[in-house]
Amino acid sequence: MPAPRSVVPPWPDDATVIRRSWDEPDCFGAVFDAHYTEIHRYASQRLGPHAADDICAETFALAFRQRRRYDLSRGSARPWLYGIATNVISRHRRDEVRLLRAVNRLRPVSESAGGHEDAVTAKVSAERLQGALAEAVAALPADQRDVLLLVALSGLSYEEAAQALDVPFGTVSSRLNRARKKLRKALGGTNPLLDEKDMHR
Amino acid sequence: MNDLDLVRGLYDDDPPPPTREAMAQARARMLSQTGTVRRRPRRAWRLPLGLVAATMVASVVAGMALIAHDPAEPKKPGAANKGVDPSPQALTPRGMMLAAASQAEQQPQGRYWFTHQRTGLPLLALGRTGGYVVEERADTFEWVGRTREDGRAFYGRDLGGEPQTDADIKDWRDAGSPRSWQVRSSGTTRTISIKPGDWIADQKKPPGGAFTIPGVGSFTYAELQNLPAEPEELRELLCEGRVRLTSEVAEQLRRGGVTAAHKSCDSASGVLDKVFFTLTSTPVPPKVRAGLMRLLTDYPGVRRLGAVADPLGRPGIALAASYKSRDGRGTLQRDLIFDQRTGKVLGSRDILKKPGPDSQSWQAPGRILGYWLIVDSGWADTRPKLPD
Repeated sequence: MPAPRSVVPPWPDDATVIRRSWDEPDCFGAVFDAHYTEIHRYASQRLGPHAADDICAETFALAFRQRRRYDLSRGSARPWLYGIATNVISRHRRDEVRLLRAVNRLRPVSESAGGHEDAVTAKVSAERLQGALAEAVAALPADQRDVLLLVALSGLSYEEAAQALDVPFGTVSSRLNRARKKLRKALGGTNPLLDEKDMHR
Repeated sequence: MNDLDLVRGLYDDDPPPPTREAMAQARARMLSQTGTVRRRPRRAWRLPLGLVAATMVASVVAGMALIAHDPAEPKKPGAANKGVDPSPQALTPRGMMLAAASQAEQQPQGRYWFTHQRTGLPLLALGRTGGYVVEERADTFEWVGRTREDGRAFYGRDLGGEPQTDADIKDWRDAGSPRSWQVRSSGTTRTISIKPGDWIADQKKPPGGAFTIPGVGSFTYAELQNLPAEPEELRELLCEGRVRLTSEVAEQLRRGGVTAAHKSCDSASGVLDKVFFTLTSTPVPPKVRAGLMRLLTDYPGVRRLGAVADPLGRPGIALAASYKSRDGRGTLQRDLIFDQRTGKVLGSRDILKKPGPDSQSWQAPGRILGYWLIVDSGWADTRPKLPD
């Protein structure tokens, strides 16, 4: 007996589910199920896996409490959830900076086991570069760092990042440009690893 | 390569995924805030007078009933001649519940608390070989040491699917007994196999000695010992004030100027859920278990069903509260089932009473729309072993 057509509804987008959750709060579970892992990954990258559990629990608890303020014209809840997570993460600014400085300090000097000399040199310089980069990210003003990492780690477009942070599109671009300028400066201005053309996307 | 790629390179490309336990807790915590948007007036319910006396009478009657029915203890000649039939059937459903509560008071404790739980979600099998209902089942096994140093562990496994009712089994056979099914829920289409998966351990190894009750808070073993046993005090603990956070989380939130969510119990089913979570997520001491059972037995809106069988076929006695589904599936009845002999929770199940606008055609009155069972739980003196 084939399934009757009527029991296989087209699945609603996040906006529809969230609208429904205004009256039927349990529906919000579907938003959690669809996005928790992704938001957890983002929190884990920025603050480490241990903190990520608490950050994510708080993010979704806040999202649930704010579900009536969701802009229903937006089909996907990803930018909104990334925005809330970014705000929760920003409360742990000091922890994040400490982690980034630790990357700079603790990044191991390359073990030379069996490496071709050129390869080892390249690796060491890449590690130095990463340490300097981590330090530069740590030194960014918080609002610039949030935009930079949101765009770099979430894969959101500038447009979506602007939605997420609830700021105008132009603000996202200018914060991002300032952040990238500082990073380039920290890396010595003309780093051979950087393709200049990519800088103006 | 551009500078954004370099920034990405700083970060762990593939951080460890969230554990099932953390996800389940976060999800429960999120949904347990229901009702915090509108503050609800304080409920004026109080424990009916005379319950304490009634409880004592019921315990005495139940004690006789249990002795008479224990196969290991044959009836003594003369004992049956007292003029009272002490069989459990002679008890009212309320008497059965209170008898189970007094049994809960007798359970011994150990060093490691463990719980083996099973959830089942019936779904329609789709496609050419579908058209009947298959239960998607998952197991969890968790043990928590009494002290921090004793540690804890959490495991999960997919248990595979099986057709739900006898009629579903027949339809499945008629469809050629397929070994896997396509189903759709929560926005995704997926395949359920008939074959169970292996246990997978959560890699995170947090310390033992602490227990979380979704929507209520986190308690150390010592704090559980000091919980009240009086039903009204327990209701306040479950339903009023703010969620109790671990000091670590509370500190993080304080730095951000955020306080814990308000607790709330939405109607009788809300109280039933809180009691269920407390009894199944923590080893509250026997007197508290008994108090929770008494609270629920006499709570307005809770029905006492008497004898039932749980989805594993185990005999039990049940309390029930109806609620309106929030996803358009109509009115459901949630049963909380206890083992009368031990007072332990066997599990809960949702039965459809009245279909709603979004009910699917197979979701007819009487159909079980979900269950959450406690396969086994208790105390052990050595580290509990994974069940088969």
